[in-house]
Amino acid sequence: MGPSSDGVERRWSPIAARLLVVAAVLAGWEYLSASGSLDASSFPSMTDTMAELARQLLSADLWTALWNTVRGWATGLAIGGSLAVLVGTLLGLNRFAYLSVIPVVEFLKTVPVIAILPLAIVVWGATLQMKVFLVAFGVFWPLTIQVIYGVRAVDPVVRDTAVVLRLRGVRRFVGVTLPSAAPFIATGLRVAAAVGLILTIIAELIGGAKGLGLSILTSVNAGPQRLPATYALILVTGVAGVVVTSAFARLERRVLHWHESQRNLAPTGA
Amino acid sequence: MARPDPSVAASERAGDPVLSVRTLAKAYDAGTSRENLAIAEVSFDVAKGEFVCVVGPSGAGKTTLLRCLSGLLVPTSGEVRFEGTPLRAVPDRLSVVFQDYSRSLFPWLTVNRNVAVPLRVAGVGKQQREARIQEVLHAVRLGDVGRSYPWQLSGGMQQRVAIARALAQQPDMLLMDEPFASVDAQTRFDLEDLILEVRRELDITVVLVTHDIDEAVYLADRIVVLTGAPSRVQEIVDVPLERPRTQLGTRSSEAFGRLRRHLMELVTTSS
Repeated sequence: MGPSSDGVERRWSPIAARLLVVAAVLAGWEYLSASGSLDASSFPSMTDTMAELARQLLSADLWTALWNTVRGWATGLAIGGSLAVLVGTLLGLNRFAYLSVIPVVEFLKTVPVIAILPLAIVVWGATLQMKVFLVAFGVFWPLTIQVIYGVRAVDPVVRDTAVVLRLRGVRRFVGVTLPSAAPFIATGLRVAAAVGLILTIIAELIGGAKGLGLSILTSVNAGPQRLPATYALILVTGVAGVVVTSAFARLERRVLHWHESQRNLAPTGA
Repeated sequence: MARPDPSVAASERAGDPVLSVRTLAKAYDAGTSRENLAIAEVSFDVAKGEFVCVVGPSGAGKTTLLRCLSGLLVPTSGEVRFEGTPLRAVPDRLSVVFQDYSRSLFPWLTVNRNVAVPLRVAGVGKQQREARIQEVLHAVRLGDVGRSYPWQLSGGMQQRVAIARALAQQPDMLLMDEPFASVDAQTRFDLEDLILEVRRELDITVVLVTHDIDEAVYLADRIVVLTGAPSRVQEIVDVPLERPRTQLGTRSSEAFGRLRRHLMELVTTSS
């Protein structure tokens, strides 16, 4: 059931089409700048932006900023994610705990993370910790709920089968509960990763922690001649978002290749 | 109601029964206003090596009964004994095959790994485990499918894998809940013959729940006929058809037709 030659073609042609669309958008941008439709004082031309982007890519500043952003994002995601899996599992497995705690979780989930940003700044200042806390907090609640649902969604036939096969304790959790919950956790994680990146940038923009967000702010404050840099940095954050989302989608496809939703997408037998 | 006490009849048949069901009753939501009696009173014995089918009209609580027999469900009253011991949980020497193979086989594991699950639980070493996997896959006439995932196989093959996994536990008794209800007619015949062969080769006791009267007559030594819900034992019918049975020969015999007719009458009048 591997990909046929046909399948390869089918996978390549949309990629070519997408590249074409990107090229068209960039060309359109340049045309609008050249024709004067775009106000040059607030919207630099595509070529100026790209030249600045190339210059930035060769400078250490951009890479340091990117590293700071990635570090804050990854640490926050790892901490919030592991806590969510742990807490979500415990709540999912214990009905009493679930019923007792779920209203609190549902409430805290709805608190906009931005609302606690000032608090985090007061406590930690413009630091990595502040960023990590914000990301971890923002990721934890929705993912916890996702994990709870996943753990509780074990198919009754699967549950009976586990009993009949005398799967118990850790073996049952790792062998049955976790794989059953995996589709839920994967979806939650994919969303959390994207949300986490947004929160990281916000923590840098508003909270002043080092990273891409702060670089954008600095370039804006440096005046109109630094405008191409601002746009270049915004493009970099956009690309980072795309990379994160597609990386997690890819990971999901790999890990869940056996799941109904993925069966026709991925080559099997990994 | 004048009917012979089935328990007496059964215990006369053989020595110690493998499975013994006594005045089993099961009510859902017992003690509440929504109390729903699924099984009123069921008693029967299954002797070692016997093939017993349980039939009844749809909604007769057949699956509930099977869950009680396997230890998955605790009866409201009455007792189930497996090899002389009252059932508290699913016993080690008992395996269950469910109707829905697409859900009972773990889709995240290959065929080999699915079959290996009970062996790992039992702590069987790697080499022995691999030998045993080959053995049971061979017993269900499955060739080289170990590295495939269950969902890549046909329905009939998937149910064979489920049977192989059940056999890997080396059970004394196999409980089957409508195991062939989700496959096409031809595959169904093949699987029926397969389970008869497996049972003959491995000398295991089988209790199979089905709504299909022809299937019950074809497979069983005895058939427990249930009434509609709340279920009771309506009659226990002996099936004295000779073995080995063949789909064409057995099903076209006169004795088969008589038994089938008798069972049809029982099942249709009780619902």
